[in-house]
Amino acid sequence: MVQEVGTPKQTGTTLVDVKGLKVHFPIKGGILGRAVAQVKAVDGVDLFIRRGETLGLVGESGCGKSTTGRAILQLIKPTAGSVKLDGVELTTLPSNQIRQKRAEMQMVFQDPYGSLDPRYTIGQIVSEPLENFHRGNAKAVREEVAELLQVVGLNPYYVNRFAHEFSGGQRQRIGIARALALRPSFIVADEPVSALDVSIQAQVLNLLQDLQGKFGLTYLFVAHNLSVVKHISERVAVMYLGRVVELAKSESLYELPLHPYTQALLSAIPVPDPDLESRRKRIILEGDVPSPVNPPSGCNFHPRCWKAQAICREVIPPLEEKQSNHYAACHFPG
Amino acid sequence: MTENLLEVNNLKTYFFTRGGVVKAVDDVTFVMKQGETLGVVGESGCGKSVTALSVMRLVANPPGKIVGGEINFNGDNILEKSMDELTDLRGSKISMIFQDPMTSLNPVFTVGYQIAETVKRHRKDISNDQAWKRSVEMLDLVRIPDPKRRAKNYPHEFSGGMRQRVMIAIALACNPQLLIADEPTTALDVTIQAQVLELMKGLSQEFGTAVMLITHDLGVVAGTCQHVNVMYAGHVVESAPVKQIFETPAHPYTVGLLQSIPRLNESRDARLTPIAGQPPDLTNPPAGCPYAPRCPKVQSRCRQERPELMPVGRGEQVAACFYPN
Repeated sequence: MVQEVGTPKQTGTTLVDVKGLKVHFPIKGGILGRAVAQVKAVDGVDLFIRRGETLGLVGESGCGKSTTGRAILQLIKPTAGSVKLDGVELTTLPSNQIRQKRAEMQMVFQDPYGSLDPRYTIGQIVSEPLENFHRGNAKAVREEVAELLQVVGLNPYYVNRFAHEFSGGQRQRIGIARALALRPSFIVADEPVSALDVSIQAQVLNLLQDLQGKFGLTYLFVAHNLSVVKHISERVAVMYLGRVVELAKSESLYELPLHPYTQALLSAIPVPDPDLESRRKRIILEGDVPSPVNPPSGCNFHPRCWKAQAICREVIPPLEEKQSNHYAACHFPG
Repeated sequence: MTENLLEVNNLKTYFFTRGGVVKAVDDVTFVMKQGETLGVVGESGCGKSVTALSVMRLVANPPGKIVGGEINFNGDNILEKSMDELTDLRGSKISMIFQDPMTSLNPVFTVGYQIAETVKRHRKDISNDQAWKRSVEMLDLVRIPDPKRRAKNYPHEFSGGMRQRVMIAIALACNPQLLIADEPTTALDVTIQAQVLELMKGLSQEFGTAVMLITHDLGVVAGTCQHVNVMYAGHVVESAPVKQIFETPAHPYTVGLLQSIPRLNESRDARLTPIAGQPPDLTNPPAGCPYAPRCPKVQSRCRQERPELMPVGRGEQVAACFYPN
């Protein structure tokens, strides 16, 4: 693998390797409660994340991006496929060993209000992982918590306060401190800033970047806001209806998107620049995202695609390297 | 026509809560011209929605109350109107669409019925058949495919983007002069947002409807609005034509807001410049300029006196700041 110039933290080795990941949820019906259909939330996702990099995962609601993040951490049992963390296959590990592995992989959740227990002080919230993994005695844990709070930009003086006493941005910092407690190598951040106002959002994004440099973290950054994802990610994967349709370095994805869906998605983002806005040509997609219960045949984007041909209705396009390090799943890319 | 469609003067809307008086909207003044699209931007809790609700006289009382100022619509003060006069006005001259298309429609009536209901309320001479025809026509106008059949469907049979189109159809059914859209696309995905914004833009041009677009997304403002009000802590801190807001922002808050958004056309290494601290508690706002505690250019005067909106010497641009950029 070629070492990239200017990004020394990218060591190039693969930390997370996902192949053919599928998560299907059964829809139960009838008096016997049998599965009558499957929601194909994630339907064959391939991706890899290099050590020390941030992979952005974008897509619209219901495309399976959050489910992918959770399935990688084994918070949802995948229906099929393989997930390797540092070479260890996670999908076949017994649950007690998965639990041990969680020290290496953590999650930051979207909702800073719902993801913190209202009856715990923030000291208890941040120390819980340390206690679960028996990291030191009470005094060591206390010191560690104080340090963690400091690292995420909170005053350790607040350890005995409850989550409701903090604003949204501060709560998200608490969630990040909790995720960092066990010094994981890999963090899945599921829409960590989408509930925050723009001025606060920028604070948290900067914090995530600082922490990555400090602790050599690897992120899977799940979000629907493409500008945010571009800002924080080295590479970006675009999902549509349970599949990755394009995966590339963030600059080349934004400058030269190959998949028609990515092109439409990028053109739909409003840009805070009135001149640019008036000159832009917008691709307005017809209709809505189809149901993942009964996805279209072949390429599942074909009913909304202006380039669709007969082959798109029949054959699922594989995710292939169309240009160097630029993967797309399309019969007619470009 | 040069006459202003809407003039809001020194509007004050306060909420009387157990924790104290929340000055959600405090001394807000602005005008809207006929057919103009005005963007109102700001972060959560800055008073942008309460301003809109005040214009509609929809502020829940108690705890909310409009305690001062006037709202002149076509020269009449809305604050002096009786309940009956207001009901005549709402939906016919001023309409509103809300953020959440999932809950703003009534689940037990067909969408066709809900559009027809608005039409019949405001036009006594119209028959049931004609009102229904108007529903189908409106659904067609907001580009719902197969409108004749879809008019007989219930809201749950539509997707989020389609429901927001139905809301727009209801709002525009009586050709209002002013449409207030409170975060109309915040709950929608970007590709659907693009569809809805395009539709609103097209319809407002076609019918000459003035639109007050409330949003926290500066990108949406750049693409749709002619004039922008930036709100902070219950005050309008800057008001200017859209180009000037983005090219020569005068208020430090506007500058901060623009610097804290990640942009697509920027390299990855550029670091965001966040605004330090948090918005003030509106039950106990700081004396002087509400932005002073977070402002990088703060001087001692800012902490004592509250600046009024003043021209900054660039045409129509005004900013409430002693030391504008």
